[in-house]
Amino acid sequence: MSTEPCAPLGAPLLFYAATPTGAVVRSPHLIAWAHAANVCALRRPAKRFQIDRLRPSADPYVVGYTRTSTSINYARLRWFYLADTAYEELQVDLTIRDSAGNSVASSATTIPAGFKNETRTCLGFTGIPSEDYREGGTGYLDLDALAATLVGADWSFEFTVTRPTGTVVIVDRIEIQELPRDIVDSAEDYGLVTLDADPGDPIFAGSVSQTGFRRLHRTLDGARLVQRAYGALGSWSATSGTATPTTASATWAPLIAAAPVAGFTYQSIDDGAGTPAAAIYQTRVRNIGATAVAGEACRARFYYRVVGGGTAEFRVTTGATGSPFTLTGQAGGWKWSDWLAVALATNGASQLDTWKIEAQIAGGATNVYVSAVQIDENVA
Amino acid sequence: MVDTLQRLIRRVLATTGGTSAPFVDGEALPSGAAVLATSDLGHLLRESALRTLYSGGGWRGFYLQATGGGTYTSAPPPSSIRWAPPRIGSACGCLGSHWVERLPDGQWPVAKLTLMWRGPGGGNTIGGVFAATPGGDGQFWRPGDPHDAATETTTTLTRKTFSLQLSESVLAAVREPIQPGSASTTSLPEYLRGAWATFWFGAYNTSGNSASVGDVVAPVLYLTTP
Repeated sequence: MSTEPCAPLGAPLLFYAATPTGAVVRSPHLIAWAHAANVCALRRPAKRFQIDRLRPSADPYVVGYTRTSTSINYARLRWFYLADTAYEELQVDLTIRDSAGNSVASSATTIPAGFKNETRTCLGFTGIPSEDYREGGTGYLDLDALAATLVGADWSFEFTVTRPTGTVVIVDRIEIQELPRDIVDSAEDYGLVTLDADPGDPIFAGSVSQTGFRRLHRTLDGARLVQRAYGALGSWSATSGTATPTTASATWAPLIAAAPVAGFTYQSIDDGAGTPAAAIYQTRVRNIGATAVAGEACRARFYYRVVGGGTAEFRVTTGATGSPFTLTGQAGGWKWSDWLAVALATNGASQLDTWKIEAQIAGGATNVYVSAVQIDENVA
Repeated sequence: MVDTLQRLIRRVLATTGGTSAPFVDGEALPSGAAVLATSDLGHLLRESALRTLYSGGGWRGFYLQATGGGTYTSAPPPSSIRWAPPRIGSACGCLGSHWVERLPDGQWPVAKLTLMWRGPGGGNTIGGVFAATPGGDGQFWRPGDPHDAATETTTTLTRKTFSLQLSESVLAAVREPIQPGSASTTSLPEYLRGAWATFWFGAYNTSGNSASVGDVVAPVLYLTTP
């Protein structure tokens, strides 16, 4: 095993003319390519999510997470509050679960301070925003250490917010961000260590697990397969109530949330028009295959509950070939739905495409609630 | 520019015992393979620098006025937004701190906040501001930091895209030790480093009345080419 700093000078400039016909390709070429591949695979992780304006609730706020790769080892967690009236208190408790039924509770040493249900005193409102937006907790996750327990591929972050003292202060936001790597490690799945390359040497084939041209292509493939996140919604507690996006419709309909309290600015995934429709999200789509209406393979899942028995169906509409994409037969909950294969087109101006989510119920169900949505790339 | 193909030419590695050039010692590494390696990496360097940073549930039913009161109808600077809790009808928040990297041609990407919004009608105006400030710790914007702002009077849901060209002045170099978990340790595995910016959005509504609200729907923050 050997390690070195990961592209400490940043991504290199690459030139076609660096490898002309008739000239020998030697280690400096491989080193430049390796730095570029290392930057793409290790310094540009694909997953980040944020939960906004969390009111205290006995039910958790849940977000879905699928690790970029086994070579992305760390994530940063932060929560903030926006000061309100006078001194009050907040607690944030984190439990992480996986798709195999395993869990890591906040009491574990892998969960950082600030997310262990400690009581944090929140200062009063000053009217000076730079003073009123305050950090409640910051910590780092060792994803490898968590993966020793959480062996399932898809994880679920569950945050429970409590207000032991006070009546109004809320958590302004929770941010979770995978972090760029600082080190290339030949023992990991991706990353090409260049220390042992003598500039005068020819390129050697090596192996996918160690060094050389094969390891370069292994790392390049890691960059291709990062499965970038396009949608990460989770700003509603898993509560079967009107403040959680829901529908009682037996035909395709938007999921509508109402204000938790009159006069409260709230969040939803419908468009709020007189006759509500699904909110239309727009974003830039990474082009891996080619610029095309067929677009990039993605997948979506929903954290839901069906009330009254029966089942729910979910539909994602995009600009890609095959849209809308439909998931049927989802029952029970609260739980994550099956993955729904979708695609996002890359042929739009500036590679922009849109997505929207609708649902319907069947078989005697009275409502379906959705508190979180995860939409990631699914490049094969 | 080494992204002329604007796609990946994916090649499957030969097996260990295979003889497929160019991945075996002793076989020729033709310039074509080298050019494709450059092309693929140039494409990935561009595509991986551009990504979705934030998606959220929006600000629905906001009615809080700007700091100038109900007569303020201009495209607001951040100082005109009342950064207040949502229980009094505000529409404001941090869109997070994000690492940003240059594109392969050396340019910094553009940050765009796209959303749909509408006003309450009745002669009222809504205004919104998108701001960026250097740093990775959720810092609030500073006077002089760049921002993009607009107003809207229609009651029809309308797409609006705010845009900020990122540059060194909007980014801060971050270098801090990563200390995972809650157990004390004597060795830190590695450092978090890079160029970071923090993004903010705020809006006002001249109505100041919870019966005449504005909506911000489906906000998405992403990086794209200049």
